[in-house]
Amino acid sequence: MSDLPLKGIRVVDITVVWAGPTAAQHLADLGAEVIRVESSHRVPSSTRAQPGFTAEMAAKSGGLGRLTYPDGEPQPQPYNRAAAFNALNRNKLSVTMELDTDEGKEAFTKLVEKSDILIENNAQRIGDRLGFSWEALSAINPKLILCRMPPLGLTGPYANYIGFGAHFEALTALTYLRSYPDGDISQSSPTFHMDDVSPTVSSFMIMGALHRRHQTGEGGLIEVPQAETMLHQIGEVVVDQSMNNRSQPPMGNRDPVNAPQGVYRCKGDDQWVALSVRGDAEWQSMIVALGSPEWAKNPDYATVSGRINNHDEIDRHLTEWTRNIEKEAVFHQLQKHGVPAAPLNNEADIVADEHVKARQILRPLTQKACGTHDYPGQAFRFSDMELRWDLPAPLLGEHNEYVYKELLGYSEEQYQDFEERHLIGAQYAVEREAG
Amino acid sequence: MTQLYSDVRILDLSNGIPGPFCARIFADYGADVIKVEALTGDPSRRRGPFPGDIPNPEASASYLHLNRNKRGITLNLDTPSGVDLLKRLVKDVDIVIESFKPGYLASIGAGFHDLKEINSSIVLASITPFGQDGPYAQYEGTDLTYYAIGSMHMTGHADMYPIKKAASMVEHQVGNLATVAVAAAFLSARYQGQAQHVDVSAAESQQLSSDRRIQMLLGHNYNGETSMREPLSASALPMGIFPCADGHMQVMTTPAWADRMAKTLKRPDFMEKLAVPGALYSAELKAEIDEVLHPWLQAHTRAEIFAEALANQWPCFPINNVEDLLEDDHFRGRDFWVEQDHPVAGPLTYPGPLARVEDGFALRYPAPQLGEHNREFYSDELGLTGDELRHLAGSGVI
Repeated sequence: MSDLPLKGIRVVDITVVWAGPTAAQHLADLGAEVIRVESSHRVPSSTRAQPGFTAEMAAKSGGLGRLTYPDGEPQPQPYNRAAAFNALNRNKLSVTMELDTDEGKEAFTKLVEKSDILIENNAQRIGDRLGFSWEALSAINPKLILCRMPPLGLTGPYANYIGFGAHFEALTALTYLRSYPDGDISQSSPTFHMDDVSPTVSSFMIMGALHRRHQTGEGGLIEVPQAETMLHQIGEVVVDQSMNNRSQPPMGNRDPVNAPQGVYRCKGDDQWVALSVRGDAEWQSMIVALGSPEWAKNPDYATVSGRINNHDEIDRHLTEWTRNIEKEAVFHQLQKHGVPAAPLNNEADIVADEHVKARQILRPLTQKACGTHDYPGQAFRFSDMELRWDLPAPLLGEHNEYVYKELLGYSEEQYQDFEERHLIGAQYAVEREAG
Repeated sequence: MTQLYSDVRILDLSNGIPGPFCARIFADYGADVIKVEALTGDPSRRRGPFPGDIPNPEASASYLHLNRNKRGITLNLDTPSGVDLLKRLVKDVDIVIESFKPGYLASIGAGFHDLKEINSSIVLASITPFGQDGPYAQYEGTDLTYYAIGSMHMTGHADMYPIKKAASMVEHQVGNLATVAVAAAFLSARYQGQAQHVDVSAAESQQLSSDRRIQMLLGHNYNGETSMREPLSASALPMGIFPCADGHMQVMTTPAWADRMAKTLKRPDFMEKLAVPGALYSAELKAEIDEVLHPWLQAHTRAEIFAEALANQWPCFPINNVEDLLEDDHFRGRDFWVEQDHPVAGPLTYPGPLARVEDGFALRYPAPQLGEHNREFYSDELGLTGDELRHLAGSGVI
């Protein structure tokens, strides 16, 4: 067993919403000391629940709201009990700093001096205004690795446009490409794929920059234009445009080569199985898995082009089979014959799955405001090191004392003075003022 | 300065999308990546799209995009001399990336423990459908089935079937996630001399890190609720995809952005109405806002709405297709698209840098033709003689 590779590396996580915190969580899991810098004066655009976000409001906010609080109860300080925040900030410390005060600026400067990495994810102008430009931060610490994750980059006509992942998917053609070919595009629900991609790119680049810093002693600026990170994932579609002057239409669940491919209704309410047949040999295996029914032996179906041309008809036959069987049964039956298939799982299905249990991908953590629950971890593991799994997501300002006194060297008197003047806190001002 | 990973050598034994994409990202940032293919070639050579839709293993857009900046050799691992050659190659590399069925490499004498004996600080990254162990370890998967087992059930309209993400984005995302694990293992190997076997599960990538899945899994463990295909919010503020004069717009309005919406629609009174307790979820107010919003959208083009709304920082974005995307001023203005020539497929447009850093991204080689660098690699670097090469080729090893 070896130490985690980022042991001894300190990260300032001053990110908002979703993508930034996820990037910093990768680094925390890999052993870095990640300090999340928050404000107690302003309720930020964060995954911490907003004070006043009641159980009733949560219930009206779809799954994102409903699946928020332990036992559905916000309790006082709901921002310490939100599933989104607690899922994205494990292994981190939380400190509050008010960057619009002189005292907060001074503390932030001291923290940057003592850190290796800073991550922020604002649009260019907002980030610059908050003091996160390379010019400003390298003046404090020239060895710093600064990772900026503006949604559309630091340059270009839209550099200052803001939005959520779903907006950038629209701009980059992803919403169009994944819409229903047999429906109306307004039926597409938003996804937030950018929040998956850009954090992985950020932590990959940061580790590369650390490797280079080992050799050169120099830090530097990393620009992660979040929307562009997604465009690599449709590389072949982009190439097709220049290769064949073809703007690809929405394909729904179908595939240019794998056929049949789709989701099929199974026994029960809104239960589905997905399957995907890669080539003629897999189709022959599938026929065996189906029990060799007559319809499947149709010679028209023996080739890829034949199956693509008769896809609707094949789908009707397959649905006759699947709709009276449980999705897990279809899944195992096809997989036993080497055909890619999977049940469409909700949260309860995932938690109950035998493979998920065997691989222990959900493991317990005890968080002060929430108690003990199983938390989702990472989709990768190593033979000779263990990902960190000891700190739950921090309460707001939970580590103020450690950061101000031990790390930054403030005296007990100064610390108390800051506390009395509410320059640091463990509660949002709006709540404190309301009593 | 040198590129971030320019002193790293990778043997890419993987096929399809996740492993090759992971290796390509390292290659874009300087790693010397040697793609090792079976004599039949990576299946992505047969996936297309192809020029004029005529299948050609040297001109498949999928292969070209996933394998640029790599050198390519062939090697038949189902022969003892193929395995011997692999072991010679492993001596001098930092990272091996593979996507075979769990247990295959060990069965030919080239598993993690075998490789570690040859190279004590090797990183072996195994990127597979369900990971190296567990009851489903031998199960198969595709882009669609990984998404299905993770979070697809909540994507789409309640009255329609669940719908996948675009193209093969999920399999690419597995590759993106793998770069994090491989970079971490590489740092451990390089600076602590510790060999590492990395186990990346494609299914787990969608169960643990697919957009809102992590939050919802935890939320379920917090309170037993489950998600479904449903709107993001029942609030009076507009959220959705709506028609405009020349297409559709993605509109989202959080309470924090309501004033920007009111300003753009020139209806400051909406803010007063929203301030009334309970108004945020009022159906009447929703109808009133919609009555102003929809005619305004339908009277303007995507470009007009985009510019006007974003001038007020109210995010209303156009629904673009790929042609719109490639013509968009922003990405062109940033020189995001790059052109690369390929001896068979010709000059084509690709996405450029994934991220930007000084001396970062560079285009060095187009994707290799099958076995293109056999001579250069096996004779110049491994020192095989012409006779040995001819013998290996004649016996179906390379």
